[in-house]
Amino acid sequence: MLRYTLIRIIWIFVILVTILSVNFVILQSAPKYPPTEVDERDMWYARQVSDGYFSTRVERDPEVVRQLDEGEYERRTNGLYLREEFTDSETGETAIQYRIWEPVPIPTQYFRWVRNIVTEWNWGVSTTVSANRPVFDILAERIPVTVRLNIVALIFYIPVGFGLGIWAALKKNSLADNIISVTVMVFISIPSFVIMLLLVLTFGYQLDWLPRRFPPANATGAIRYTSMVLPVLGLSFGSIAGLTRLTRAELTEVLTSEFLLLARTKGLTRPQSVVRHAMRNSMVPLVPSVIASFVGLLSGSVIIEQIYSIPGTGRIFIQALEHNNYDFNLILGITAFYTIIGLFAVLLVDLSYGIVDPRIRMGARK
Amino acid sequence: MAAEYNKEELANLKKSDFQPVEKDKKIYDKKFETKPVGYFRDAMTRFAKNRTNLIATIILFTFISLAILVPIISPKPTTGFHTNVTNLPPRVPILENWGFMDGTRFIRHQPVDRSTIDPETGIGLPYAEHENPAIRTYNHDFIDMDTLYNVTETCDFRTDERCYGGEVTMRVTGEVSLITLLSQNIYDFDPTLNPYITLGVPSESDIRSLSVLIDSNEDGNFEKVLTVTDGSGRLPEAIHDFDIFDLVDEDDAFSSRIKVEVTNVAENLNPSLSLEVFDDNTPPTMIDDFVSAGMQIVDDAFLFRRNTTSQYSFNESARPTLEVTIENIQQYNIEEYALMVSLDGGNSFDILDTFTSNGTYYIDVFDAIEIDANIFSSALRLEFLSENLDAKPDISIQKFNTPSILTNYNIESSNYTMTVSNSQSVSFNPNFEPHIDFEILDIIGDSKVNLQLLTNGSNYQTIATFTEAGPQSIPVFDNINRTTTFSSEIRFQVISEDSNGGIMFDYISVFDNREDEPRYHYYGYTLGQWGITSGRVSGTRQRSNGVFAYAYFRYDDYGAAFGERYSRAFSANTYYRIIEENADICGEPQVNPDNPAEWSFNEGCPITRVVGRNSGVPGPDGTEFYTYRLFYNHGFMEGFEETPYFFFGTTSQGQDLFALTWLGLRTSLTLGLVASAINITIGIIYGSISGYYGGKVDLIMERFSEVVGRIPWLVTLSIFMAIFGPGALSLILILIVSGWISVAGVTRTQFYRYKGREYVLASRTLGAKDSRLIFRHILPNGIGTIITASILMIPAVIFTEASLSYLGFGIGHGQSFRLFGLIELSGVSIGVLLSDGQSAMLNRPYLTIFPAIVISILMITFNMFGNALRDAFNPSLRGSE
Repeated sequence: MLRYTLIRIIWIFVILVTILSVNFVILQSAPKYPPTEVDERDMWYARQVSDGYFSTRVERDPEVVRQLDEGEYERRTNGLYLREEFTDSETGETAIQYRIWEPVPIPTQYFRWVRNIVTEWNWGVSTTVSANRPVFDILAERIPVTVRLNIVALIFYIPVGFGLGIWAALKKNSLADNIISVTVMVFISIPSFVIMLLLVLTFGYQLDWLPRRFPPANATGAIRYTSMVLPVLGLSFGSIAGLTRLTRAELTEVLTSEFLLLARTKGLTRPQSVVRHAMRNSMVPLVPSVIASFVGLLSGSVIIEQIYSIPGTGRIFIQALEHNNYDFNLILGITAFYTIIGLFAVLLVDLSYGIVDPRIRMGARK
Repeated sequence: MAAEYNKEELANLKKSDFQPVEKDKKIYDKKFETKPVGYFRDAMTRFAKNRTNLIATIILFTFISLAILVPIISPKPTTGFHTNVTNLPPRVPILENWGFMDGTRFIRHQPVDRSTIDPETGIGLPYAEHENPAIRTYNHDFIDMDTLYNVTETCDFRTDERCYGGEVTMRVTGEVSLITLLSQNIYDFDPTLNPYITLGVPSESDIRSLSVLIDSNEDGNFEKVLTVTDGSGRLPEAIHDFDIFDLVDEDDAFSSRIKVEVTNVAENLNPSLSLEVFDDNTPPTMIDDFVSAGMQIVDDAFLFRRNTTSQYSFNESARPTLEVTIENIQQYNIEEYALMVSLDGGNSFDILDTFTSNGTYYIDVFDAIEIDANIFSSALRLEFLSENLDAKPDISIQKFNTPSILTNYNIESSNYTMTVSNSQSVSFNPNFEPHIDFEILDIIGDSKVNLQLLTNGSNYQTIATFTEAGPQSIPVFDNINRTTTFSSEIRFQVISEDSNGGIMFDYISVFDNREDEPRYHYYGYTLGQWGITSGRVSGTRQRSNGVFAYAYFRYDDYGAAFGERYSRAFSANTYYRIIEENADICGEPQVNPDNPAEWSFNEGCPITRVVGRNSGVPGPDGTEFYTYRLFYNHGFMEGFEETPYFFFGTTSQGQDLFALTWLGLRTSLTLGLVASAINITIGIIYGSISGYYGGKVDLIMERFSEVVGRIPWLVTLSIFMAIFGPGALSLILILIVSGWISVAGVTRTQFYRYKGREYVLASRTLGAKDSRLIFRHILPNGIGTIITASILMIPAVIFTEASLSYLGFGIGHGQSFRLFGLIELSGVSIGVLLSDGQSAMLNRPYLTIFPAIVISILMITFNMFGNALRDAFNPSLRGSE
């Protein structure tokens, strides 16, 4: 068990590093969009130099200056070339110089990036969304909003999903089961953002029962709670349908098994046999699926946040991905956040099999 | 027969006793009663058994055919901008008769035009026209009056005239205060003595304006005689002097205290200023009893000294001042004069001042020496040095008293003050007995309110003062002696001891006896427009409890877009052209028997009724050009022979949503099919290799697909957005990146299942290559399972495509692209349509509802179809997902 856990952790770590590295290298080779305000831009370049991603120098060689003037010099992507006049302090002559910021080679950038994160927890600064603000600060402000929403959705959907699934399985082929099955089919099929749009349209705009958009962070009173209703519903309908279907399928299978018949013949009542034997056994695939569904909720909430103007990580990710105005450091930070959560959930899923069902031996050789 | 056999015979049966039944018929010639069923036929039978799935499949294929056919057949626009058909609601031929999807829509929450309110019902209509383009307008002819109702909400928009009624509260903010100073002394003003006052404003004062008030009638009413202001800023350091009798109307002598009103910044309630009152009452005393001839030489150093023979009295309250004039100081080589007084009766003298040059000097005696007493008497002593024995001083001295210096004053009151006025000149004619009526709902704080009018063209006169709330009616000329007409702004001055005091008005009206209606009525919005007219903005205005009426009604958009309209100036050329072209429909004009200037045409004619002809204008060639006032069919003029049907309504660009939806669906389906085909191809190849070779190859390929499968879609999205930007290419790549993995997994399982079979082994022993084994032997056996398992990928891909396009990362309007140079697709997909519709969820929900329903039904039926197909082909998997 310990060996298996260790191998899984190492493997997950390898995947994590691979994904983040590939992401970093590809994004760094794309054109960047430094802040457009001169002051902010200068601060940004200074910051890049101090973080080690750029080198800076002053070019006074007349030949190089001429090449720069006439466009013969091969300018680097993301480089900044500022043409200035300067006065030579010895001769007193005025000439042209270039102040140049150029990115260092990507492998060097990559190692400095890793070093900055590992030693200083420095994820870089934002460029366009909130110029020169540390990415981690922006994330730290947004993550609680998203995570709170998702946890509320999780708390809401698990009992409902289990309950409906169990009900459908116990009353198999009854009217209730058929209704539940059809509803599950519908909600599994419809994209969550369509459900969310229809919810907002109906309850927000047409009936005017609930807020039409998420209130600002300083809102007080009932709106803080009523504004959670629609995003939680929008997030959890699909998950409820999935969980109901899985619970129903698993429980139906267990309910027809011989050991349950044995339990009944030993004299257990039906509720006893269902709770003690059937439920326990059907939990085996359900618990991991619930853990995995959290990741699904989290990435599904990106689009829900966009529809309902929720100031969470998903919405800022969409902002950072604005066409031709990308905020790469922020994108890197957010994708790292989602990747870490996703992979951590995968690890939990793997380990939870052994905890829920002792018969499964982790890493056992066949 | 059986009974004939006995035991012996049975014991001795020979072979020949046995004969095969139906020996001459061959059993393998016999046909089975049941027909052998093929794999596909069997699957189809199972498929058809499930009624629900069959219906789902029929719907799915209907949708797919619509997606293919509608964009080709539909003549309605899906691109470009079409002014006349924008924002039309859904209209469907048969359903419209049932009052459903009939081209009308229920419109909520539109501001009511106050002027349209029906006095009986109290219900108003929305604006038919408004100068502000942000306010939507509705043609009243096409509002369904049976559904019209109003909802009122309270409002407090001070400057929005649609907000009606309510109270207006005006408050001082405490930024500027009014301080009233009152002198302790009563001063006598005699016109013969030419009294004048000087106002001294110190440097860096907080004073913004100064007013002097004098009670010239001695009746206790102080009249403002003088105001000093400097625009809206602080007064600069200066001394202002004014003649009293130039300022007051009085010609006779009078006595009065002096009152000064200081407008100050609020922090400093004790202004520093000087105010002095002078007159000719105390003429200066000439001090000329220095005996010039008899200057006494005091010592050898030629110090000359001389005392006056008279004693002079000095009284501090009179601020005695000496005016010293020196001429010819150089004549006798006099270096310096010293002027002295004695405080102890002549024993010793103190120097008042010394003079070294010609000029006139003023010496304030009590400033010049230190003295305890208020009154003293002394001779004056003059000393100077000169070597010339004939030296004579040439000096003249006058002593005069400053009679009244206003040094003692009491702060009578310090108030916060504000004036508000209507910024509109109102004329008051005494013949019509004008009166101003108003109701003060509340006076906030300890405040006093003055109603002021500009009665003499320069000064505001208070005509009434209130300290309590209640309705008031003030006749203007009761307190004013004048009999001439004057015009003035109506001004209320609020004086409050409270820094937040104020006044709450309900209405203010001006009446006169000419008519019952008020000539000016300020109420709600108009009252909210009253301005704060203090020197600086020192008050706030606030409206509360106003009423904002909103109209709710059903509106016939099609009627408004295509129905009858009225034109004030319809070109005669167009008129004749239309009548000529439609002569068979319109027929002869039927002139109204009551009014020969009006005529109408047969029903169906584009011009329905003419109500008049405008006077002609002579054209360049001498003929006259007319225009008509008439009603015409707008839809016909815009090229619509009859009112069109837009099943799903139209977008804000005037594009047909019905055609757009199917066009978008076609794009989504095509992208889904293409991406799925690529995914299935990649997945099959990858899975085949992985499953066929097994071992280390399989292990490495499995690890690779695991890593790829673990990449969150956000990472994939950001990478492709950064490299390629939004568009079809990125979209397909994003759909492909991890889409193939599930197919590869299924394929791999199939390969593990079949690769050990005997026929594969046989083929291999015959020398078949790997590729032949994979593609000719194993794959064909597994392909059915693989395809049916992969069919659900198409809805999943459509799902992702719609989400990405909705977020703006997929395709978008105006794009059109070719896939492999063959299929041309428009940039519209369901996701794009949903994204467009989101901005108009309140009033045009159909823009969201129809695309949402279409994609939902597509997804549901596609999933059901996929599941049914898989169940049919692979019954063992039934029920599991």
